Amino acid sequence: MLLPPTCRSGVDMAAARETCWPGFGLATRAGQSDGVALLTMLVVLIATAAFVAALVLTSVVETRIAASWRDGAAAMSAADAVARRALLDLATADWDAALGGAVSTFTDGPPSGVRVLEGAMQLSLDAETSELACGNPTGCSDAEVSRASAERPWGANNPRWRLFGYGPLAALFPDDPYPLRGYVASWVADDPTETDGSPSHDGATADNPGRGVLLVTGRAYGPGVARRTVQLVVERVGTELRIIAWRELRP
Amino acid sequence: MSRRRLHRLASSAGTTLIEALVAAAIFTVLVASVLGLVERLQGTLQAEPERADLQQRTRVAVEQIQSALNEAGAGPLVGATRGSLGRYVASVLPYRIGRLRNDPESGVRYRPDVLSVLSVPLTGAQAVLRDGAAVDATFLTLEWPASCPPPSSATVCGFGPGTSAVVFDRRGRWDLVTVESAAGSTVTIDAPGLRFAYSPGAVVSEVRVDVLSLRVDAQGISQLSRYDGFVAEFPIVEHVESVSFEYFGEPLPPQRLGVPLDNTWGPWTTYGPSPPLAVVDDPDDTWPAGENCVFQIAAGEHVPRLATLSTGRVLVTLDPATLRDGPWCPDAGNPHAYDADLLRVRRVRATLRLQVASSALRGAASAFFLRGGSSTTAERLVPDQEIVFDVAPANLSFGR
Repeated sequence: MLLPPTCRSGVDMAAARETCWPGFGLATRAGQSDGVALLTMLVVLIATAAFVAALVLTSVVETRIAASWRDGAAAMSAADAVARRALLDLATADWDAALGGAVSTFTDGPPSGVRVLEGAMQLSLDAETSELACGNPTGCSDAEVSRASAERPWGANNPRWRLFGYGPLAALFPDDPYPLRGYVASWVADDPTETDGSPSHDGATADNPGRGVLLVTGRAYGPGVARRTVQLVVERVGTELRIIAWRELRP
Repeated sequence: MSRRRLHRLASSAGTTLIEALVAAAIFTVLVASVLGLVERLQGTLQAEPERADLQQRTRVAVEQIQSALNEAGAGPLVGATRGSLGRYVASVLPYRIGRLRNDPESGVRYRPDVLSVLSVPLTGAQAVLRDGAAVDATFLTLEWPASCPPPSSATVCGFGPGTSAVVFDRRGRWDLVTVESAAGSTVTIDAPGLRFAYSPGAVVSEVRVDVLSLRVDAQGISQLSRYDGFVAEFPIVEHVESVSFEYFGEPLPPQRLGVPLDNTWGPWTTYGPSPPLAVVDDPDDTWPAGENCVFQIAAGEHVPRLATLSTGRVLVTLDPATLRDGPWCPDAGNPHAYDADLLRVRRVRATLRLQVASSALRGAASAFFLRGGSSTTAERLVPDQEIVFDVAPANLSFGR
């Protein structure tokens, strides 16, 4: 486009605007309209983004709640499974040995130390045993174990829990085609109705009401952060074991 | 923009008016469509949290029912009847039990939307009767087991004011009582006292009672509520429009086990109360000598009184008629009797239907909405949620 000399660079462009480009002012106003459209679109986009963000947030929260519920149900079954797995060994085991610290055939190492769970969470088997015995994960003195509480009301007869079986849930079901997540453990303890005063021996005499009765706790850690615990009361009748009570322990 | 076009813009005033009109029309269409979009988004935004809330309320309701049923029939550690409570008394009942508005007292023996569950928690408050107790007794003389929790100023062996307890025996009698005080070997219970007479050796234990049912509050909101069998009843989940329970049970009648009936320690039967010796007549019921609600005498032997519902071991549906036609435990003349077929229950199916709280998110009454609402747009429709699930109480299934 050929412009007159007055319109070329070096001149006062503001003063020459209408001369050089008739309609420039209108074009600028049209440009201002573009700005309004941009603003409108921005407002619409922001509002839409806010709506969508709220919906996504709702969905994410709902998905997590649903996953947590599903994991809780899976953990419950896993806790029940590991408790019943312990019965397989207890059916033939020397109960006094189990109450003295002998472990089941379902283990993944020594009955102490730390296990690494999914999400790099650490599980201390010693802390779990202490927590079960006296509610204190850092360890229990004899006095603490014998202290009566709502969860452990029997005082001197409170169960002295011994870790019995433990390992990854997947190891409990090695043939399962689906990889099972989580870790499971079981503990055994003498029945609190025992009258022999010895928590590491099953009642030996016929007049002991706790003779041939044992408590078994099964606990599952995971999937995810789910934790569930079940407790069985089992009785030895002849050569077979009979479950006489099943309960879920809730925190 | 070309110079020619700029010139036209600057000079054509009439065109500007048309363009303004066109622009206004386009703008109107744009705004209308944007507003329409916003309106739909708003509807979705309003419905989604309600949908999530509906899901969560469903989970809570399911969890409550599962929790109660999972523990159903858990029994005490002490006494000759230790083990499953469900072996001796019906622990899952299709009507309301408890100290307040007890259904059997008004002749009701079945409600499809009520579930009562009995269980004994793992507790130290467990003992046996040292002396027998008569009907209406309010004093119980107990024999404390060696495993009793240490006594405190108000409690003996874990029993203290307000303890909710069950008294039951191997004959299938049971009572719910509230302890008023405990001292020495005596426990005082609240009036009206015991409904049945008990012999020495009957178990007295802390108990958990869950009565789950539908109720409507003062605002007309339908709620799933839990009654603890004694004094407290509270809503668990709101806007539960319907709940129903179906029962599946043992097809085979109870059988005697090899344990002699005069043996102190049971169990004496595969399930159900143990009968008296063939020559002994229980003075507390109207059955002939040697018989009870689940066993009768034929040719001098105990044989099942209950029918064989199927020859296999697969659980069978226990229809409502079966659960209220007797035989009755302890006997038909007792106002607190329960149907002996309730002892068969091994699995319970619950059906729940919940709806969204706001009627603005419900459409016209239809298969999707039990109670109609005012919504007419798809974005603002949150259909009722119905869930069906089964629970097989572990404590009622031992030996299967």
